[in-house]
Amino acid sequence: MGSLFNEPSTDFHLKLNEQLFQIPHELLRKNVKLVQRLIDKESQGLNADFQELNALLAENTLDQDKVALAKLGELIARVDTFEKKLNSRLKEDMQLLNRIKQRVAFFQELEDAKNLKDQSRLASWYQKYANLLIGDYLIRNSRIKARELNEDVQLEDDKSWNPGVIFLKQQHLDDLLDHDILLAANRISKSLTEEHDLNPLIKWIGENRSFLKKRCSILEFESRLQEYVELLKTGDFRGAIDCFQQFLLQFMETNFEDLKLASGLLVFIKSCEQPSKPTTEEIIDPQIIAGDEFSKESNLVLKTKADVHQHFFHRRVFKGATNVTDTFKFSHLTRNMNFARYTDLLNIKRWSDLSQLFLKEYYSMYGISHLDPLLMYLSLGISTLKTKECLHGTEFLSSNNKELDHYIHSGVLRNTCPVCSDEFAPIAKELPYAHHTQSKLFENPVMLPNGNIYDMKKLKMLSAALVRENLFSLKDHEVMDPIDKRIFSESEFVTMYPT
Amino acid sequence: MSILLPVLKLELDKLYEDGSQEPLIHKCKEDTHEFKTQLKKLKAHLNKHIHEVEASTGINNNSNVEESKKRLRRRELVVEKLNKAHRQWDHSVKRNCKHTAQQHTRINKFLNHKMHEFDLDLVYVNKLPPESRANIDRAISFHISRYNVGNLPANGRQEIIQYLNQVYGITEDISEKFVQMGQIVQDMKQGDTSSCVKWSRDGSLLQFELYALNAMQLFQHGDVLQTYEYLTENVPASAFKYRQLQVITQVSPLLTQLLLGQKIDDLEEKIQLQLNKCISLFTKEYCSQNKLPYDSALFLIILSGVISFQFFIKYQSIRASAHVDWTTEDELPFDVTLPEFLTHFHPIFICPVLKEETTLENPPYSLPCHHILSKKSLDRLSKNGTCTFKCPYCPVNASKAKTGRVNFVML
Repeated sequence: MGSLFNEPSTDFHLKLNEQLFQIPHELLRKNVKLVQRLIDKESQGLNADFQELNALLAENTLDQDKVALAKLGELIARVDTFEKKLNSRLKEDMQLLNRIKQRVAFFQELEDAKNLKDQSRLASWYQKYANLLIGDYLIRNSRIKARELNEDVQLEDDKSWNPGVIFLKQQHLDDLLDHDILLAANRISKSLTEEHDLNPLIKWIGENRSFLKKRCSILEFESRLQEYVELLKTGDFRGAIDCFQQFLLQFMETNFEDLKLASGLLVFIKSCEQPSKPTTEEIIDPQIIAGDEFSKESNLVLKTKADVHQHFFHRRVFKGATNVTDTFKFSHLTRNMNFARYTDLLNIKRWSDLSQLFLKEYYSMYGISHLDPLLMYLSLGISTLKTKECLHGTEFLSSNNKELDHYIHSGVLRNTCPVCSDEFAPIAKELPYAHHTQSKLFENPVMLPNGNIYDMKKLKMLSAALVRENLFSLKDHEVMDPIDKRIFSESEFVTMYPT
Repeated sequence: MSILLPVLKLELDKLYEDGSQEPLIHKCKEDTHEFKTQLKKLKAHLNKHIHEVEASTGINNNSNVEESKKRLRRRELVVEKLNKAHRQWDHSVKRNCKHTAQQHTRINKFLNHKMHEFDLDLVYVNKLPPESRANIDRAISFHISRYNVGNLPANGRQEIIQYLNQVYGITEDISEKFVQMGQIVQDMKQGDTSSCVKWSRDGSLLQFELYALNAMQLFQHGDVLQTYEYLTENVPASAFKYRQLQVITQVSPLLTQLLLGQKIDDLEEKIQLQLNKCISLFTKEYCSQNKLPYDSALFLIILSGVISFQFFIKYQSIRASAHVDWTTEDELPFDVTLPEFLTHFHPIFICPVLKEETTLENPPYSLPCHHILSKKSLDRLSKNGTCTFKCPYCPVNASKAKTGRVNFVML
């Protein structure tokens, strides 16, 4: 099966988008497990009930029969609620199956377009595919907003929205992406990084404890540790100790060192607080970022005595002389100790690390790629399109004729290369070039005396168009070089053989 | 031909009950429902029995032994049926559940073994720097304005700009480029082509197609006379200029059918098709007139990303088996063949001697024999211009003085 423009086979696409099937299937399995549990519970309960009922009936007296009748009534009510629960599970099942079906149909569309060799259908399929990737990126990365009250809320899930979800809905692609899963991940991760709120994460951990255990994940430990640190930060020592005893002690065997550190923090938190951060550090910082030793030397700013001391003796000056406070005395005492490990614990960056850790676990649970697929495609796509000539931009010589300039620059020479576009040029700078083993030029290359090589037909067509649009009058067999606007005769053409 | 897709379909079909659109666990629900009605029925029987016993004890105690025996038997039957219903339900529900779970395991196996071949995260070798997010957001803004502006629940210039900003955070400098396009597309989707007719140039292809669309829409309303009038009076004379574009050839079969009172089955579909044709024609003309790219840069890059994916995977598997490393620092280590519409942006010239792409530092030079070499190879051949040399492709001799720098320009 050949391809229309070198696009991969349908099977390759399926493998590439395995997650589109993996996620709903995982959800389906979860649902079936819930059904199983529901049934097991119900079956057990009913067994007990039936035993009771049979015992009552075995008496074979009128009174007991009446009790049995009441019992049977209860039983029916019980089965009824069970049926309702089952119904809601069934509904969920239907929805998930429908999702999968839509996706199969989506790839069938691709297969059909390929089989029919229909370029435009294939292009519009890829259009949808690109939109899916964009939706995915937007859902993962943009902020979740609460739905405005005046809009009608149909489902619980619809209470919050995100540009990605809206985009997919407007493109009628919402069944092709598991936006609920991605949105939930976004919600939890944003609550960590932006609101510094652990509750949603802890709730999620509670729901998925068995999975995390199987993976030997440190997520629970890290989040509880963060909870403990946050309590310490607010000065709630009692709460912190409670948290330590209740949640952290169970990790005694696996994370003993961390626990030691955590208990140490309980003592040293006061001396690790912000005031102990020396001012010198802020001046040193840019040099550290600058990197190599040489630039460090040349950029060195020795503004204060402290800096000089720091630079030559590699030791910080105690600021005791300039700034004596009560808390400082204590920190003065402990200054010689290595506090980096404690300040690391207090660092605000831990929130984003925690969020990264969570996302990793979350995505691996569903078999979703941890990194944004859109970025992958962009990175690969930019590189394959990036030629050595990209990002330079041809220089034009403008003439006195403004209309002519406009026509040529915005129409003829306008560069439509996506890599050179305003948005992608800065990104493309850092990426590798494409690898080419063959020249990709045009037919009939002719050189003008100024060294520019053009496609002969195109050059003639341009000149004809200039005459037609009344932008420039050219004689027969005359052409204009669009770059330097010089006029040449066709007899000056030099046919080239760029082998 | 796809191999996986049919298998996947087949496997997924097994998640449904045979020959129906209901999922497997639907059976559980049915069983439960039946069980419930059974219980209700039996409860009614038991109730009746109790009443009868009560009634009989009330009136006379010893009247009919036969009858009480009968009642006893009936009661036994009820008890037996109760237990049987329970057993049946229990059995069936459990079996069904097990069956469903089994099928899911099968599919899981299929997904893991057949569909899972590579880890997406490993493909992302050249990571985009985090500060490129702003640029990506701009590219997405452009993409959304270009393709989604006709699908918005907003109307009017200012409202559309505002909506795009509030929902997608698109700045006005991007959205305003596409506002008019979005408005016209929305109008067309609502069956009002007047704004597009006004926009279209006289005698353009778009104009023809719009007339055809209008005529078809009039057919739908079923007014023959009005349609006829529209066709005779409004269609411009230029519509008859090109034979293949004649509105009449598209419309006359429909008109005849309408006159004969025949029903046109796929009129809806045809109108939809024509509408889509008009919309795509219009967007094309709009973009070219406003000097906007017809395809967003983001789309083209994604497309080439998709195409190069397979080459990347192939390269990776070769690398894994041959233990070669990422060869070139600033070049992808594999050659990707892109379709023509993705390569016409820049001319690519590979120096036939050095087999390297010419760059700004190493530009192409022409020889007197009209062959082209890169500067580096020229320098080496002429030993930095000190001697004449033979062209590697023909017997003509050349000296460095006779070469000239050339510049490829794509038009």
